[in-house]
Amino acid sequence: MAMLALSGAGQSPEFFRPSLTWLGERQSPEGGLSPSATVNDVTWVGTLCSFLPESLWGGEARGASLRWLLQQMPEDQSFLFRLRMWMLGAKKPDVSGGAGWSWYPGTAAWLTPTAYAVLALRKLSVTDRSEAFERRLLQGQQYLISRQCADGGWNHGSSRSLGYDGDSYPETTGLALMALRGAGIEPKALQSALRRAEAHASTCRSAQGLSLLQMGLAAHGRLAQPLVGKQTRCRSTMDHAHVALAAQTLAGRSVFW
Amino acid sequence: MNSAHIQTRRSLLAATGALAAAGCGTTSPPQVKQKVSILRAPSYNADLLDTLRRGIAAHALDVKGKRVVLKPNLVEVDASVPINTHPVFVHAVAELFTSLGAASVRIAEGPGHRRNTWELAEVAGYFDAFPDFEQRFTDLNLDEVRRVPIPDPHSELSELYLGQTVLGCDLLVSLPKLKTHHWVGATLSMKNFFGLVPGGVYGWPKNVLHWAGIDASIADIHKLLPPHFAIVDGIEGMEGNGPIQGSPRHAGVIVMGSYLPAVDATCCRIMKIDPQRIGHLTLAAGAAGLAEEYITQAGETIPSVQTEFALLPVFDFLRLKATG
Repeated sequence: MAMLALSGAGQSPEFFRPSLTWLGERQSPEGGLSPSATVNDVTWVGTLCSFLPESLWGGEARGASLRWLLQQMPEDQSFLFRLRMWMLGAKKPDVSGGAGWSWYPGTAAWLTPTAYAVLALRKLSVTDRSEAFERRLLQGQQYLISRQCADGGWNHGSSRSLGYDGDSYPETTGLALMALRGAGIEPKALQSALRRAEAHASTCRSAQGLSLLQMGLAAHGRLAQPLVGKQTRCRSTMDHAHVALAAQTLAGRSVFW
Repeated sequence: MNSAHIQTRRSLLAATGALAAAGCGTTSPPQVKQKVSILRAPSYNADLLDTLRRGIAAHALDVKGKRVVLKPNLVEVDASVPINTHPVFVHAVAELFTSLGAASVRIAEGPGHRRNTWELAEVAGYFDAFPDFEQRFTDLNLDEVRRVPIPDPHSELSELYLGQTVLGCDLLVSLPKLKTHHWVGATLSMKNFFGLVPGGVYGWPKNVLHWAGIDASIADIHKLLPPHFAIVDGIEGMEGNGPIQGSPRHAGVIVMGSYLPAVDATCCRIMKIDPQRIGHLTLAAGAAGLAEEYITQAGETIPSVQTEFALLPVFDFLRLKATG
């Protein structure tokens, strides 16, 4: 996230050399990345490299990242999962829920990795509109739409469980709105989502939550003034990175689209 | 398909899982009786520290010079229900261990749904309770990790990544909330340690544990713990559709001990839940190891504080038929 924010701020390629070396060491031959030097497993984090400019993450590294992204299919699309859901009381197989992306191999799809994957594919499909791209993009968008909470927003991806509606969160509502930019979401659902995002914005205090809401609302042309201001408290690098990314988005320079 | 059939299907699955865990539990009962204390605590008031001090003294828990890590249950925030370990409770425990000579007392948690742990902690009131919360707290989701092999795992997992803060401490203290749970029946000191597993590796939620089997994963994490202790916030608990969407239930107790299955078994009995039907408890201790005769009950008696917690209908089979 820090690299994305700094790349959007126009830092020179030389500045990123150590970070790019570190990222290169994390990339597996299949194209995915592990989240740290002490973790061997490839996880969702590789998706974020897709937002780096080609001048920083290009050539074979970029191609491998994309191939990896397209190959990922969550475990909830498997027969075993559907059988388990039936045993747990799902009334019928969910055929309209699309297919998202998981955080970790061999597990189900969840909202955040799916939203970033959709954003990555849409950004990259500007130059590559292959059938595989389009199909996977559509599946991801369907997943996001199917996970909208009853209150209009999004949470971690469990909008309803055991007959109870789940409440949405500010940060995931903003992120889902970003990913559904230009996705042709039904107007009523979109209005409900935007209302929820604005409601979250009026109570949310966190830098990441406000930044993602700012980007989500901006993605749909619904922001008159910045949500993130000088009073917003940043406690971590992630906070600072999100604030910078939100400011860049409002200035018309989003790394996400 | 009607809801009765669905209910039956899920009930069957839950009951089968619990019985299988009970039948397959290969863990031997502890060689010595395990001590668990029950203390009355009607509210989060000024007496809390004294009550905790009495409890810890009864266990002769030596924390002098030790690096202590407190692991509260910090999940989500809804002002209308007590989801999280009360920050005043965590503060009282921290104050107590500091006064007993601990070298350091850190608070560490890795919430399973929200990536922004700092915001969660702030809204949950932890910054109000601890003026130095930023210096004291470790977000276990983003901690440096090390891969740890699981000896004779119950689940499909052979190893887990865990945070260095936890692996490097001298005493890990589980501070759960007394709650029912919509997947495993009850969430107490053992289930609380799901929060040790780093979201930065496994995601939000830590879905890898669900796929490997929730009960079996809880029992596996228990095998990887450094020296540990549990102090359960049972003052205001949650019944019904816990751990997030249930209803408040006042129980007015604190339960503590060093053998987590025994602590959780006692909590279950207080809630009128049969611990020998909770899958992860039977996996960790064996059904026999949860029997009352293996537990030395100190402080209040179970019948004197017993408070029936409502269960989802799917968990009717967990209801304790009689005490003793």
